[in-house]
Amino acid sequence: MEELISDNIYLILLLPLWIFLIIMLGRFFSVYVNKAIICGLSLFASLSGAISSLWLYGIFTPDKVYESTFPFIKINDFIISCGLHIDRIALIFVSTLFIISFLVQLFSISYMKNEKKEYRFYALLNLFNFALGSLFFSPNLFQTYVFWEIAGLVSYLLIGFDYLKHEKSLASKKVFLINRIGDTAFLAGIIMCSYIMYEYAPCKNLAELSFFDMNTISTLVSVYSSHFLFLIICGLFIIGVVVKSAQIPFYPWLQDAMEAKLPVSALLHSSTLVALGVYLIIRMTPFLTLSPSMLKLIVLIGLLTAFVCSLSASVQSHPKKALAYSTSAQFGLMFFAIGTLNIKAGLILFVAHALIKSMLFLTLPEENEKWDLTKFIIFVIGGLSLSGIILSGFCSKEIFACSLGLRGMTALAIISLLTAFYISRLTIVIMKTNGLEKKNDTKTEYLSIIGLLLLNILFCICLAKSESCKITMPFLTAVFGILIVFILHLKNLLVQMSHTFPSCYNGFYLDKLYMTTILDVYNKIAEISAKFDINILSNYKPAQVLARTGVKIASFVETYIMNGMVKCITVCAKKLSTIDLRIQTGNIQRYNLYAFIILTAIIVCLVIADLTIITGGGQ
Amino acid sequence: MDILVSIPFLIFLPMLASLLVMSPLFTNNEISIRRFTKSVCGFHLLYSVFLLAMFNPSNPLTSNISFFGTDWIQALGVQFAFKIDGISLVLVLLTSFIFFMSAISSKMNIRKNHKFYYSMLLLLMSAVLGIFTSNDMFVFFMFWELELIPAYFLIGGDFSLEENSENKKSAMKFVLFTFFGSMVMLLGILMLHYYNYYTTQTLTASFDNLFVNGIPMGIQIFISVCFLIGFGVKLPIIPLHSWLPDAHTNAPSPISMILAGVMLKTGAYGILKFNYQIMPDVFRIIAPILAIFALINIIYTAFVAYAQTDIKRIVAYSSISNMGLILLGLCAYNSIGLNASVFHMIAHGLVTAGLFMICGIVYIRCKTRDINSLGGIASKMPRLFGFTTLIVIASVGIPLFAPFISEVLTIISAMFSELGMILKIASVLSLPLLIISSCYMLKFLHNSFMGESQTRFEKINDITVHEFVVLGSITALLLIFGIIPNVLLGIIG
Repeated sequence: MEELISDNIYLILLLPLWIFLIIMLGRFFSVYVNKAIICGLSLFASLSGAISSLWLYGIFTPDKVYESTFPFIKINDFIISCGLHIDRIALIFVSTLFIISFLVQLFSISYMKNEKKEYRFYALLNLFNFALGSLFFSPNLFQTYVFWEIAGLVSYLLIGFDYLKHEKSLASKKVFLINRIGDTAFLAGIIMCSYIMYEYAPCKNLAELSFFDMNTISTLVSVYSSHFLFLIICGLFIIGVVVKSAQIPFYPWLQDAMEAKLPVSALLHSSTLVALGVYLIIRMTPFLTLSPSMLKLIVLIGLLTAFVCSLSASVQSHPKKALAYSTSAQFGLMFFAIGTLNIKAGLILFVAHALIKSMLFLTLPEENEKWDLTKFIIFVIGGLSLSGIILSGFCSKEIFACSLGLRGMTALAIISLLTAFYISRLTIVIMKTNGLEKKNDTKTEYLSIIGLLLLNILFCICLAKSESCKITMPFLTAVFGILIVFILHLKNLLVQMSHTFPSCYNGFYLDKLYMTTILDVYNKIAEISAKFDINILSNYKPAQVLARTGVKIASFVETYIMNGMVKCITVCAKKLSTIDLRIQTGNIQRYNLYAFIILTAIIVCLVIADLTIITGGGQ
Repeated sequence: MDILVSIPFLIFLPMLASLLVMSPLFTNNEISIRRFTKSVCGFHLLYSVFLLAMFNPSNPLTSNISFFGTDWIQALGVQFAFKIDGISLVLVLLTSFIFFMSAISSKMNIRKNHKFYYSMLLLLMSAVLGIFTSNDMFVFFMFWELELIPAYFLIGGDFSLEENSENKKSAMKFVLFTFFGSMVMLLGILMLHYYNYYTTQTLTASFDNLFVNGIPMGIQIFISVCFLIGFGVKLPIIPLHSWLPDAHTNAPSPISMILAGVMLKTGAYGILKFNYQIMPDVFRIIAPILAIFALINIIYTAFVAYAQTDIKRIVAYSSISNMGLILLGLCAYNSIGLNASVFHMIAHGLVTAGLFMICGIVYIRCKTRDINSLGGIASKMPRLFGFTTLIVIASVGIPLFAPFISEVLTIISAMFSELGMILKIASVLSLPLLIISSCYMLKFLHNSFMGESQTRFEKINDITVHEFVVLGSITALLLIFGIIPNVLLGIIG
């Protein structure tokens, strides 16, 4: 049974791709336009993915690895293969992905009801599932990069879904370009590693950088490259990871990703795009363990992001932006966990965060509409869970806190305080601006939200069974944070906070820095090189002057020298003819005289020539 | 079956068709001329696919399809010889395909002088095929020069209803540049021919029999540089490139497709044939310097492309940038680099043909190519927008499309190269191309298609069946080569 599933696991991945093709091609050739079929197909794909990956997770023992590959590119002895590499880490990511994707699609059925191009939305979600599933199951870094790019592309298409609106298309472009920086750094790291393996490693197969041999590869890289080069390679991987997970200093792109639709945001922020960073850093731990300074760097980045983004989140007035900052902050915590080599805690934090964050996004009210009471209650539960007071948020934070020392615990406690602060402030601010109301019309939305809540509870129970949780400092500070919010609420200070701290509100001006300075510099370089190209290379003055002088010289030669010669010849010919006329008088005696002179001249010449030959021969 | 494999037929079929079209006996009817040209190109494509089927790289007997004709100029030892190996075959297929696509898409762009246009198109096809298949320096040179005549008329001719004086100027510029290059190249060919005779005492100009080891190193380098200048005009290498944006912008769109899709590749093929294969020792010495030029090509033109406002100029500059990548792959001087280069010739040929096609479609409908006055046409042309998105995505090097494979392989090959540190540095420095190219390509996509729809573009129509076929087949090929790269890599060998 187990082998049957693992041999056919690629079906999980190919099903979404197939459905993507069905939807897009069916629409393109106008074969059918039935919404029910489209929704049903895509729900079926993600549900079957979720069930089979969870089942596999149950079957797989922690050390079991299933791998099957085939060559993708083959040039002599350089081979890049692709295929599947299944282990528990991959299964955790894949099952989270498919579960949340399923619930989000369920949510979208009623949410996207009035959208004209609904089919494209479902098609893209399916493509996204395919790309991310293949990424999480990828056996080597090259395949990871391939699907990393495709995931970035699909998120670009999803964010710019309404491409006819100027802001949305602009935001999607920005997200794509910033992500591209990280991708390029990641690719550079891969190529350098691959080069070192190809050049020095005993076995050329290592050049394809498979995860299976990651421990060997990391040791070999650290042995064969200088210390500096090794740090550069690690640094490149970290840049790639940091950009994808929206950490310092690249977090502003996540705010632009907020232009996406609500379900897309829920998906992007929980288990898909930002999760790639965590996934890759977990896969790259063999590299990190070899350089303690890099581990420290990751911890630093994680903590700094968690702190800065929590501060920014606590003064936002727009709920989606606050949640975006909160995502960066929570992923900062995961980086903190992985940086302290507590991978298990990182994974638990990831799953808990994915479940909670998608719940929070899906329960947000539409702009200028009243907040539904049921959604409000679930949002509050989610908020409390995120701050680590109840449910899976509590369990995950406490499990993580137990493994930390005092300093780590303090940092976690501060972040926990801020988390509790911003999420409860956000609840109150939304409640004030939008107002509460009881609605009853959207059934599938409830279904998916309640599904998420149940999963949250289920995950909490599982955690409580397997791990021991006890109440520690972060819990207490979180409760304290909520108390502060209540006090501020009583004094009516919450809403104006966004005006009192402008630097926090604008994300510490990092975005403006990028958009003004770097963009300006880029535009300047482009303009200068374009001017250089047109004025100097295309209309090169010396060459033009040279060409003109050449033409002038030629024309001079033509008019004066060539024409002059022709004139000279004609004049000469005329002169000759006059002389000739004078000679030709018709007098026969004269002709005879001429003939005699010429003949004697010839004879004299011949005699002289003869003599010279004879004398020459005599010598 | 072997009797059907005939290279002269492959090369001279379009030329015969061209003469037929040109002859006064042939009909003047626009539709029948176009249909005749399309059927000739289509048949040619089928025939080259048939050649592909006959070609088997693993079997040494069939890995070269050769044809040795009679001696052509006995006094110089010139043979009228042709040879097709994996690389030539792939490029012949590309040529055949792009010309077929160009002939299909000519319907909307060409409004006058049909007879002349289509005969010149077929003549150009013959010339390009001759370049890719000839196995003798002088035959190569003959086809190289033959290419100029139809190209001049196609760029500078009057084929649209509007008055356009710019195109004659650019055609002149193109011819002057290329002529300069080919004169320098001729010098190289003559010197190589002479020195080869001088050292080996055999009069030959065949690529197979040239033997350069006895020639003094200084002279080898001189010859090599002559070739590089000659091919560098066509490729183009940076200071010699300024004919390209003008010619590509002012030519009719189907011709731009051919210029960027096929003609530039003749330059790269020349470097591959003359510098890389005949004089490998010298190439290994000058490769690091050439890699610097390639790097300048890649990065500098990518920046220039970003500052352009004419969509055709953006695409033109982007193709210079991509040709730099091809050059970098050759400079790496290893099997990965060679494969990546040839792969990128194909991938970039397809992408750039598609992009010029799109520019043509937009220009016909909107009457403008200015990126600032376009915008919001996606709502009127959803299918064109879909294709444009796909091709733009392909051109910035997103996986599952062919250019990704070749871009990554090129960078890998430069990193793996054994020719010293410069190539490794060039490899790292050419990586930002992935970012910069996505900057200008997304600018192209966003500014011309996305955004609020404008009222003056109310009445434009979506693509016709012809354009659909062209864009669809280009996209399909890009996807096929991107997903199963071994198909192409296996042929290149």
